[in-house]
Amino acid sequence: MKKLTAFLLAAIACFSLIACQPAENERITIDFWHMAPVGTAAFAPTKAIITAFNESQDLYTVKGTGFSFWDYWDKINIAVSSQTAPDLGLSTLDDVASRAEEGVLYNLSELLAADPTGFDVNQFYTNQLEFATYDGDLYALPFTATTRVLYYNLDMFAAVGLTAADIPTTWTELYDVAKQLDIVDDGVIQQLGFDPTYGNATYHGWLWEAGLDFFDTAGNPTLNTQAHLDILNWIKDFNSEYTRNQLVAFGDANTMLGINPFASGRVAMMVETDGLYQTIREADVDFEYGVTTIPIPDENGVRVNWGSGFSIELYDNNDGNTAARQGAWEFLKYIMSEEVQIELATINGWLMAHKGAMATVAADDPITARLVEEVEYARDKIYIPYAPSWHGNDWQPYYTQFLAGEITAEQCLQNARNNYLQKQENYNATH
Amino acid sequence: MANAIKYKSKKKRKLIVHIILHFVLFLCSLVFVFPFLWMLFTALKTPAELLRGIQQFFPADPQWNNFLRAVQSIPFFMYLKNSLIVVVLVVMGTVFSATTAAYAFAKLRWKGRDKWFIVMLATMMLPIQVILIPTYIMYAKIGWLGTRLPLIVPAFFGGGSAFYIFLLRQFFKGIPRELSESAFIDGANHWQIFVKIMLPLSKPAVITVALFTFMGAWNDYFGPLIFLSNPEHWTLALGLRAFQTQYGGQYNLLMAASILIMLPTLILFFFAQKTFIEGIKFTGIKG
Repeated sequence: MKKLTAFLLAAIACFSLIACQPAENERITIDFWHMAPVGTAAFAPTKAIITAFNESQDLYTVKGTGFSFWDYWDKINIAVSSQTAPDLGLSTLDDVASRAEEGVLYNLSELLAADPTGFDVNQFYTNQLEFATYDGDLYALPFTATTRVLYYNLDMFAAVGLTAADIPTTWTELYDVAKQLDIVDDGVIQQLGFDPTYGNATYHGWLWEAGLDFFDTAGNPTLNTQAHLDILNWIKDFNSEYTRNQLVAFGDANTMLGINPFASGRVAMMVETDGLYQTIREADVDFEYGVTTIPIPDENGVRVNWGSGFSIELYDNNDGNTAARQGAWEFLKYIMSEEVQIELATINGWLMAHKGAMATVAADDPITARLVEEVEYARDKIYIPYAPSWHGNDWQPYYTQFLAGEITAEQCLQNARNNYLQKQENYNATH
Repeated sequence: MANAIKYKSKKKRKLIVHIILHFVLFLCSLVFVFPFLWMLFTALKTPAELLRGIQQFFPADPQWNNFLRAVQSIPFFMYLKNSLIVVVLVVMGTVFSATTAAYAFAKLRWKGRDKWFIVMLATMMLPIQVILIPTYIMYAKIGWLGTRLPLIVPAFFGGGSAFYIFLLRQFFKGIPRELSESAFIDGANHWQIFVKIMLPLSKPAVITVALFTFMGAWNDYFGPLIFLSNPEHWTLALGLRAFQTQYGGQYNLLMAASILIMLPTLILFFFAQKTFIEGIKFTGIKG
């Protein structure tokens, strides 16, 4: 027993000595979470960017941790909920307001006002900055920009005698061209010209192009007009010459592939984000393709696409760590600088939020240039406090039921609207 | 003569039934083998073949070096070491805590034993999502976040072992009381009875618990995802994610690495096949 006690005391003494040793340097550690984990191509360049910052000054050490895009959201959400978030991290731009309202983000306007370097936020897209603003103050900076465009396969066009001059610009043209590109063999769809539900084409996206929306300016649900109904039916009727089974079989085959149906040469035209361009480049596809503005209604169409992107934000863990906050702010300014944004665009294939950086990156790449052009027309979805997931969990069940033929368009819109109204009532009763 | 014909025809019928049964079993086995074959062939494909997907099920020129590339693309052996550390300790912890707790519930008489047994069983009803945030906060407060401790330590205290405790308790209850009573008369204490009588007699059940715990810990993705941050602590299941990027991924390498990760479980199955099947018969669980 005595020996054991002596051993334990010695171990504690040793541990205390190690713990009391002065740190190698007195730098403040800043935790930064990103999406370039070990093993990905982006890991080493991202690490190099962080290292360059660490070497550029002697106050802070940024410790970067990369998680897979698919894991990142679970990690950050749990960390934010439990007030163990990193000092700095990426999130989604369209719900910055939600996090600002919850009080988990630092107010960047205050840091901007106190910043002696005169950091200029006008370097970033104005429409994106608006989504990082809550109650008149900036709570995040747009990190990347996302835009949605129509991808077209020129080889498939050529196979049916179409050329780049036939790239559709209106919904009627889209339908006419799409139908020429369908290939059905023995009742099985082999190639689809276009489907308004595929990829990143959404009902709210089509509504926006017709000048409509889910909500009015006061945030009340609409969805109760004939125009809303017509667009919903247009979506379903686009490929109505095929049975539900044919379309499901084609869709299932795409799912089984696990690869984007446009990239795998199964769909001739598709609405997708700029990310598909990166996928296609990585896959080194053997067909000629291009991108263009998503076709708009023949009359009174609005050139608009669903934007969004990642935000970069400073998390407030309520621990009063102002030194870490200042360090995170310094790193944020560095990573948002034009030079670093160019590097990040090159590494990840992302459209970055820095206008100047993207102008440089797009200079030698016509498709990137076209994507960047569309960013100017990108619009993010509105933040509805009583239904933050109005386009997702709140809408998708009805939309899925409608597409599956289980309910009519009228029922779909009516049920969704009732759901929003109920949520609004509940929210108003508790806020 | 008639008997001989009858016997032959009976034999023939039996053979036909046998063939049909085996054919049906073969078709059923295809359903289970298909995902593995799909994994294997995907692992051997080039990126261009991947794009063709099911249109090209077999790789034209099998890329065996994808296995090497998969191992070299991620710190495979570091992740392997981490997985082994976690798995070995979790198996040890679970077997220790589940057997001791089960013995206490089955053979010791103490106040409130049956009530606590129900409480213990009730923990099985709690979905992980319900206890995730409080658990996460607790580990954050005690400074365990980012370490392997939240994955390992609970196993030593019966964490997540409610079903195994229940299972072993039922098994222990089936062992005649006379055995422990005569051991008592011979001067053995509870610990000695537990170690020298109960455990040897419960070997199939204990091995089953160990095997299923191994599989659970080896394939565990959620726990490491939530509690580990430092890539130097990541396990294989977590490290695989590097092959999946936002807009696609290297599915051939992902499948190659997945096959390598499956190997220990497959090897374990071949070596412990009999116990596995006995365990399934005994416990009714199918992994």
